[in-house]
Amino acid sequence: MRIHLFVPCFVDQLAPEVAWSTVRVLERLGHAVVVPRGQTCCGQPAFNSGFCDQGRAVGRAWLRAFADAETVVVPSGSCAGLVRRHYPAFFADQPQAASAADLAARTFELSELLVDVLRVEDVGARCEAVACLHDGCHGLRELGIHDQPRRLLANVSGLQLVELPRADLCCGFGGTFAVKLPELSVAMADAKLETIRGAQADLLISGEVMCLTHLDARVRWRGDGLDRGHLRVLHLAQVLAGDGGERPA
Amino acid sequence: MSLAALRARIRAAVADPALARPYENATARGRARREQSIARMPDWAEQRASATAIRHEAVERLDELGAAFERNFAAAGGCTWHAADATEACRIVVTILQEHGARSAIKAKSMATEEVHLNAALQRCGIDAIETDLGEFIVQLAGQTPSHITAPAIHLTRQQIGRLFADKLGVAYTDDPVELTAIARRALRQRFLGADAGISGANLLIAETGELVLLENEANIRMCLTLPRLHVAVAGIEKVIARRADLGPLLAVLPRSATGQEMGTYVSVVGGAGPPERHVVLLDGGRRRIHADPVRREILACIRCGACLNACPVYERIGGYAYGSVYPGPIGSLLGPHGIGIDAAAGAALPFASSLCGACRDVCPVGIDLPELLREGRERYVRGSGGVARGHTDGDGVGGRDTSGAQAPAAGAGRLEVLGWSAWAFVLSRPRLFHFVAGAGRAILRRATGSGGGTRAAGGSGNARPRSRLAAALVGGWTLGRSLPTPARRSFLKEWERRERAAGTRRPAA
Repeated sequence: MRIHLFVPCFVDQLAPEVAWSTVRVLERLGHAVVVPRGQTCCGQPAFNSGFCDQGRAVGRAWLRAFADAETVVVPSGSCAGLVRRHYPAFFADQPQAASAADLAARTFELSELLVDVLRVEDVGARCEAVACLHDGCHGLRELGIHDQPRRLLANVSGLQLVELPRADLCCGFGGTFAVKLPELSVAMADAKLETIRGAQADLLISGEVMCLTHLDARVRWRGDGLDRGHLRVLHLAQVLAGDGGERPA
Repeated sequence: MSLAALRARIRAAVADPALARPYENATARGRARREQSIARMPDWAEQRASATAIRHEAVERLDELGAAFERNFAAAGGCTWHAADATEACRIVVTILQEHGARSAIKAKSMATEEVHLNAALQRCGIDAIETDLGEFIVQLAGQTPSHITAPAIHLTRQQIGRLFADKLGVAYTDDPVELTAIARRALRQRFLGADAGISGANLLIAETGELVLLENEANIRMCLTLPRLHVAVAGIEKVIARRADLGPLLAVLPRSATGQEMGTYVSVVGGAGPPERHVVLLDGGRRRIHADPVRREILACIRCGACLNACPVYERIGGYAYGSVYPGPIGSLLGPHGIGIDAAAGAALPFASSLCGACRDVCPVGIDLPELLREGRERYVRGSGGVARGHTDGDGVGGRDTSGAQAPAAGAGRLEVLGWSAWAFVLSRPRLFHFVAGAGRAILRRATGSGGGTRAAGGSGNARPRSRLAAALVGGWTLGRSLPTPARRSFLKEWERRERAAGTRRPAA
C-alpha cells in the first residue's frame, strides 16, 4: 500500500527519530511510504487557542500537501484527531470543504492504521523493558484508540506492559495550555508522574511525542529521576521499530 | 477576568499544598462511585442516550415548555415569577417573603440561589435564612461558598469541620462524621419547626404537569417543601422537561452521575397545589442569550450532576474556588463567559482553564460536547465577543442591574498575540520559509540547552533552563518548572528531501 506520512511539526523539530521509526515500521511491512513536500503542521495550536482563521491558513497548506493521498498516517493521535474529527467542521463553509471531509476519512493514527486498516498486530519488534503506556487524550477520546497500541505492544518480545493506574489521566500538556497556564500544566504533570512512579516501570511509552516531551522535561527539571534513575520515554513507533528510535546512518 | 488574572488565581491554588489532597480524594471517590454504579447498570448507554434526547428536545422547545409549565403550575394553584437577572430574582423572593410576613427561612440546597447570591440579599432585608443541606450548612457556617456543584463542602476535611462546629456551635470538638452529623441535625431541628418559609431550587420542572422535581439524600428538602406555610423555588428556565415520563431516564442518570447512587434517597415531585403556598421564580440570568445562539444552546441541557467536575484533571488540581465562579469545573467554564455564576467580563477567559482532554465529555450524562464548546469559547474570547453571539443583542432588559453582562467589555486577545498568530500562520503556510525559520529556532534552542549531537529518545536531554533571553522568549512559560527539550539537529522532512534528491527519483515525491 502507498501510505502518505504526515510528520507533525513538533515531531519534525523535536523528535525526528519518531518519523524515521514510523517509516521503518511501515516499510518493513512492505508498504511504500510517501512523504509529501509542503507539509508543515495541521494547524491545531491555533485552532485550540481560538485563532481559527490562522489555523485554517495552515490547514489549507496541509490539505494541498496531502491532496493526492489515499491513506495518511500520523504518529500522533492528537494531530490525526484534529484532521479526522475537526477539519470537516473547520472547513465546512470554505472552498476546501470537500477535500477536508475526504481527507478526514482517510487519515489514521499509526496504531490504528496498523491494527484496524492493515490488520497487523505483530510487527516483529523486540524491546527489553518493563513499560507502561500513556494514552494521549485526543487519540483516546476523539479516535477511540485504546486497544490498538496495547495489542501491538503485547506482541513486542521482551516487553512487559504494566497498565498504569488512570492511564487516561491527562498529562497536562494540552498544547498552548502548557505555556498559557504553565503552573497548572506542571502540577498536572506531577500528578501524572505520581501514577507512573507507582507503576514501577522503567519505560514510558506513548503515541504522543508532546506528552512524553512534557513529562520528560518535568522529570529533568525536578532532577529526582522519578526515584528510579532517568525515566526513559519512547514513542510507540520507536518501540515498534525495535531500534530504540535511532536514526539510520 | 483576563487570562493573566485567571492564571494568577490558578497559580495561587496550585501552590496551596492544603488544597490538593481534599480535592484529589473527593474527586477520586466521586469517579469511583459513578463508575461502579454504571457498571452495575446493563443499559447505561441507552438510558444516557434517552436522557440526552430528552434534555436536548427540552432545550429546543424551551419557550413552549416553559409556558406550559407555568400554565399547569398555576392551574393547580401555584404562582410563577420571571426574573431577568440575579437582582430581580432576589427582589422577587424577598418581596414574596415580606408580603407573607416571613422573618425566617429554611433553605434546601440550590445552585440557582447561590448564583443569584440570595442569602446575602435575604440577610440585607433582615430575613434569617439557614442552609439545611449538611454540606451547605457547613459552608454557610464557615462563611464560605460551595466548592462543588453537588458536594459543597468537598474542600473541607472532617477535622476542619470538627473545629468549625466547636468554634461556631459551642460543642465539644469531634471529627467523627456520625457525631458531626448529629450535631448539625440538632442545630437544625428547631429551625425546621419554626421557619416561616422554605426556599429551594429544582432539579427539573415538568411542563406537562406543572410539577417540580427535587432529589436529595437527607430529607431536609422534604421539610423545606412541606413544613413552612410558604415555599419559594428558584430555578433556571432551562430546567423544564416536556413529560413526566421523561423522568425515567433522567432519574436513572442523574444520581449515578452525581454521587454514584442508583437513585436519590428522596425524590420529591410537587405541583402548584398547597399547602404550603407555592411560588416558582424562573431565572433567566443569561440563559436566554445562550438559547438564542444555536452553537451554544446545548450548554442548557446540563442537569448539574457535577460529574464533569469529578472527571476534570484541572478541577482536581485547582479546586472549586480558583475559577472565581459559583459554577466551577468544565460546565462553569462554559457558563461563565455568558455571565452565569460570574460576571461575564470576569468569566470570559474561563474556557482556557482546560487542557481540552475531553474527560468531561466522556462522563456527561446528557451528551454535552464540553471540550468542543470550550474550544469554541476560546474563539469568542479572541474575537472579544465574550459569551455573546455575533450580531445578537439583548432584548429582554427587564429592570434591575443586569449582572449577566450583556454590555460587558469585550475580553479579546492582545494585539501582540493576534500579530504572533498571524505571523505563525504566515510562516507555517509557506513550507520553505517554515523550514528556514524552524532551523534557526532549533539552533537557538540547541545552543541555549548546550546540547551536543548524538541520538535521543523523544524529548531528548539537555540543561534545565534557557541560557539566553532570546531562547527564553521563544519558549514562554515552558521553563517555569520544566527543562527545555532539545530540538533535533536535523528535521526529518529536510533530511528526507535531501535523501530523495540524492537518490534521484527513487522515492517519488507527492
